[in-house]
Amino acid sequence: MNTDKISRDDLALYTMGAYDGDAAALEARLGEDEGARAMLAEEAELELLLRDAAAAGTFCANCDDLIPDTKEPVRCGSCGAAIAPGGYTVESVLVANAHGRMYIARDADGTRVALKELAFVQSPSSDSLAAFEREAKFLRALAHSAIPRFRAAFEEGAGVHTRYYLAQELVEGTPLDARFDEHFYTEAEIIDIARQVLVVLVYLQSLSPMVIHRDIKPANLLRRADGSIAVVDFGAAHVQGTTAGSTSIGTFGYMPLEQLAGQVDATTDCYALGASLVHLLTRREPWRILTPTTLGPVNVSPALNAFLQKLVSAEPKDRFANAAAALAGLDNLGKEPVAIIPTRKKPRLQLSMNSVAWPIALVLVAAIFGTYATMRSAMHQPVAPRAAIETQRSPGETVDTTGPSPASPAATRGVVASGYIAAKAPIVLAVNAGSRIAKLNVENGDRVTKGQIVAVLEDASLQADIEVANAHLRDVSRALQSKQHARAIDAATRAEVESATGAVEIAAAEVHAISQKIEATKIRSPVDGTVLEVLARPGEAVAVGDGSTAGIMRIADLSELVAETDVAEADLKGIAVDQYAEVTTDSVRDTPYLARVREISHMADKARGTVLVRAYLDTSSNAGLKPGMAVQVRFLGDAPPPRKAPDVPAPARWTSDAVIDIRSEKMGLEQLLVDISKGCKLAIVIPDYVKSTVGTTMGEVPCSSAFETFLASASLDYRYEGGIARVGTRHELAQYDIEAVEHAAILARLGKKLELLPAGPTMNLDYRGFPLPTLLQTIAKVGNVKLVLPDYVKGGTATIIGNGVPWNAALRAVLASHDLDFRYTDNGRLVRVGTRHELMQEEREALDSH
Amino acid sequence: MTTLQPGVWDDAIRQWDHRVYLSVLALGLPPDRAREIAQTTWTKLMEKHAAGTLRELELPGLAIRQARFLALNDLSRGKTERRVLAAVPDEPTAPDLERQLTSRAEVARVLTALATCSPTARRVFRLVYATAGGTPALAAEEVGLSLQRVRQILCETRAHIRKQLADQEVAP
Repeated sequence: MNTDKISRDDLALYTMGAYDGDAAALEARLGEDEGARAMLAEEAELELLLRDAAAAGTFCANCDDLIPDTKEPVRCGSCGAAIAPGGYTVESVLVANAHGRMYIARDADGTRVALKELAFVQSPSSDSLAAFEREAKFLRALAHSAIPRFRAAFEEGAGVHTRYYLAQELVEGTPLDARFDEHFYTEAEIIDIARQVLVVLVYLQSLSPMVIHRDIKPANLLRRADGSIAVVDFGAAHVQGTTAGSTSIGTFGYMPLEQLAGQVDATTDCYALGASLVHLLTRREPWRILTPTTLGPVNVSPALNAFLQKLVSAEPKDRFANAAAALAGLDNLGKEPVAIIPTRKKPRLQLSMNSVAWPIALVLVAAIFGTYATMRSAMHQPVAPRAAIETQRSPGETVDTTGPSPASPAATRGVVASGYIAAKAPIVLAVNAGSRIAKLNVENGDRVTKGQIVAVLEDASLQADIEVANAHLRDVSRALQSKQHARAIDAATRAEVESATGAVEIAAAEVHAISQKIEATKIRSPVDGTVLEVLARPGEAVAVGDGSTAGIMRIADLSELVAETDVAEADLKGIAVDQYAEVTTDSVRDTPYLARVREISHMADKARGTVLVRAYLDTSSNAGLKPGMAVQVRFLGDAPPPRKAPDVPAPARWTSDAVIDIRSEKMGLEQLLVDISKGCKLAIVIPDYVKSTVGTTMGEVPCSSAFETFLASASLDYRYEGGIARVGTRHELAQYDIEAVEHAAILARLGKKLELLPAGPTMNLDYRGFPLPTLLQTIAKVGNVKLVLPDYVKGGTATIIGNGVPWNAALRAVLASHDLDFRYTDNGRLVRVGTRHELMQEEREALDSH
Repeated sequence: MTTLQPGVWDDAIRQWDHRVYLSVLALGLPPDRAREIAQTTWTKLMEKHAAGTLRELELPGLAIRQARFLALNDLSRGKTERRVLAAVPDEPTAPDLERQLTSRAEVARVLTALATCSPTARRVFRLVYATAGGTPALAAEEVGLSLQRVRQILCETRAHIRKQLADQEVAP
């Protein structure tokens, strides 16, 4: 017989049904022990009382505080959790933060629901209210077995006490990321999860307008007991086209970078799914393994790796176009290759793991249930197009993403890589010492010249310093004079004079040093170029440190642009320095820009297996290109590609019925042309390089035939414009024609017309070997225009013969024969002269700015 | 009040049997006898329900009253001690107003005492007593404590409440 005394705790546990000893033995002893039985009766009474109390009392589901027995207990006085909002009895709080809570609650029928509560620190604005109603409206319309069914939406309270509630079907499941402790995801599971989620995304994207979840992540993917996946938390969901893109919502790491700027499309959720799958596979947060541009190592089959890589491509255009395409890609996994465009490892948004940007970004991702984030600052960061590279392949050609292919057919067919335009040598203009900007003299897009003051720093303290330093200098100078006078009468020692001299030298040095600092407050451009971006504004600090900016502006010489691409190591054999390349943009594919490979990096990107290749664009034909533009680069051979001549109209020919008698044994070509001009009444401009001699006796011949025959004999040709024939080499004239067409195209894109000189008097011209500036000024004087000539139009001579030649045609012909051109300003009748290339370049840059 | 449809007795017994058993134990009957009475209670209710003499099943109140009635019968036949009989109300089949008021006041005192317990104790209490199907094991899992610790917390909480109730009875 057990003689141990029965404890009250044992009896308490027994009444609770929680006694873990031998209950039968205990009951047997109770039958014999009156005292213990009386104690059992007390404990049973207490147990009943506790159960009644538990049924009668109201407990806070969050903090377990007892709610006072008021008629309408709205929420817990301790933690603020709701008690029974909208008639839903709260059972527990899943998540709680400053933005609200997620409850598990029961409705009046006892059905469990997920009840989301949105709270506001301040009284909700009309925008907030509209956003809530909009979300409720489209959630109500969703009907999919993998999406919790919408139950109700309502609000309670007023002002700052306003709370909005969304009741949805409660999904009994486990978030995928909550299984890490007990489960390693296999490749088959990942494929299954991807398929299930993509089916949901296909459904969402099939709605009109399309619904974008915007917060796909493992925590929002619940695995039910039967293995099916449910997509939950549509709090961040977005009906395409309904909201402005100024606020970004999502969870950092899972959302693509463009979502930071509020830009979402059909690829957004696909990217997030890819990031989620990578997270499940690697058990590492995506922001740790997904570099800003690429997917880190994932231990899966090449086919799945390729699929994932396409999902998480940084550039939306490189991803699957939508969920349906991704689902098709998944279905074909292992059957067909997934076209992979490995992306270039280039930081975007200036975010770097080692920089402070990531932590800041993370802090900015204030999440409600891990979703809401406001990253307005990030959207203002420059988003440089990412470079990508692909080898030109025939349709259906297998892409092996596991490593470089030993064969490199692309090398023989020409490698095509995508990349982006960059300035050849962009410069970030910074300062040596910390200060604030007092004045900014330039803006984005302004052209600057070397030495130009582009900004001025505050120098008030330096001005004060130099006044003090000058005063000190004057003081010690007077002291020196005094010592010198004293020395003259032997009232001071030599050492005293030397000491005073030293003090003056030190003071002068101080003045000089401060003057240098004051000069340094005037920030000058070190190069000729264009301001790409102003980084700091007046009032902002410009020194490295908290709350300051590291630079003032970025400047680059846009006349020299570079196409930067990453080329796979396997394709590098087909690329060499000095090789030509064609560069096309998305907008201009028909007329490629010419470039030449100038740099091939000595270092390969080990992670990507690529090498940086820089092709310099032809400076004469890079109009319209801007740094950051995405381009396609086709690497060619050593020879430049045949230039596709624009559609140049056939040049006008001079015809004449006149006949000229040419009888000469031997004479200079220039003289012969002059004779034809005079004999046939043909106005003509002859360049000074026409020095050859011809010997012929033709007798009487038609003027036009004679003219063209002699020119052809010297590989020359002419253009007949405005009643005047301009002689030149065939190549030179053809080039001029092409450039004229290009010029017209540029003007057309600028919305301008070709500037014509005003009509005016005609001239009788007979100038042979005449100094060019003087000839031009003479013609301009007749046309009553003011000629602005650059310095370089000093040497050179011109020959022009003709009677009754319009002054404007004469001026244009003379200029053109010297590779010069003009721009006319009607206001003041100014004619500015310059080289054709120089003037066209200005218009190209204007086009860039335009 | 719970209304049951015929054919769902199993669920009712599973849900309320322990409470019925406790109500008999509280009268001082030995456990084996209390269990017999609880079983008899359910049997009688099922027979009455089948006979159509019960218009409405109000559980667990009806079962508790029936059990206490049977227990008092048992006690009145002298099978239990006089001390216990003195504590038995005369009309156990229907709750009188005074009893209800007394019970309500006791519940309020329990809640007052519970409010002075630690947050963990309150949470364990809520999970065990105010949650459907709550047990110490489930509470331990929910709170993240060992089952032994949860059992200990429950015993401490009961002791605290018991003391509070006793102090309130002593106080004027």
